[in-house]
Amino acid sequence: MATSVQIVFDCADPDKLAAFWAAALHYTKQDLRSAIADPDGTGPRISFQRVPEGKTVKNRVHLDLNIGGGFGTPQDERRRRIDAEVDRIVRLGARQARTVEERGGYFVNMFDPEGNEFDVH
Amino acid sequence: MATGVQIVFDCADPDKLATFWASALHYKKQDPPAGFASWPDFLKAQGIPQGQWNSASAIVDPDGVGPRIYFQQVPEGKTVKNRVHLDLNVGGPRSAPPDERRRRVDAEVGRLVQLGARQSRTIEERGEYFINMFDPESNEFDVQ
Repeated sequence: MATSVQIVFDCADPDKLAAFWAAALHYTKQDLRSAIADPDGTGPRISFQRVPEGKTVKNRVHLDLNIGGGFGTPQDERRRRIDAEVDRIVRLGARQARTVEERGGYFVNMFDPEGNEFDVH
Repeated sequence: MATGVQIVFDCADPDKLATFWASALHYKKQDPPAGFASWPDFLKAQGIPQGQWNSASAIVDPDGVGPRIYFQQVPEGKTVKNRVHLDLNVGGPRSAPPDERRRRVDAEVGRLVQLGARQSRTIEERGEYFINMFDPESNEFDVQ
């Protein structure tokens, strides 16, 4: 059986970042420790820990959000789903960066409220 | 329904790092697309020059439960402590006896070191026991 993993974000404001990511991923706040979990128990738990240092460089580890439906979905439909989700996540406090189209792929680079990079694809 | 996520690592050597993490997590390299016996066969058919075959690699949970992990080659090296890292849950539930959890964590750390990880600090606090480690490209992770 595969080892289960938890994803941990270093951050300035665990509670605020946990609230953003819970809304972004349709997760729920789990307990007092600024952790969020998939209510269905499928996706990995994500926890947020306060650290003294700020973010200085592009993160070497980031999340991709699977929204478009993959290559089995027509490109127009993928783009429609991705664009709609990007709009929703921007209203939650994310920033939209570049839109990338290459080799039949379509994804949008974004930043969470503390500047952590993630992609919607 | 929750949004599915994929974890992406920037790295120097996707194939090597994917091999380490597949062994570490009991994952496997993702199969090539249907109709191709291997990734080189697929990449060749796509007309991708051999020099770019190691630009990315992906691993998956064979049971389809855990998130896919994708490794992409980037030109820059690692310069600071990663702001996002993985915890590996190997100690069992918090209700398990501390001695048993410690035994499981220590045994797993021994296995991961043999796979190419480096062991850093051991931390015991508030009833928790976990070990900070580095993968072969010095990405931090914890075994708990």
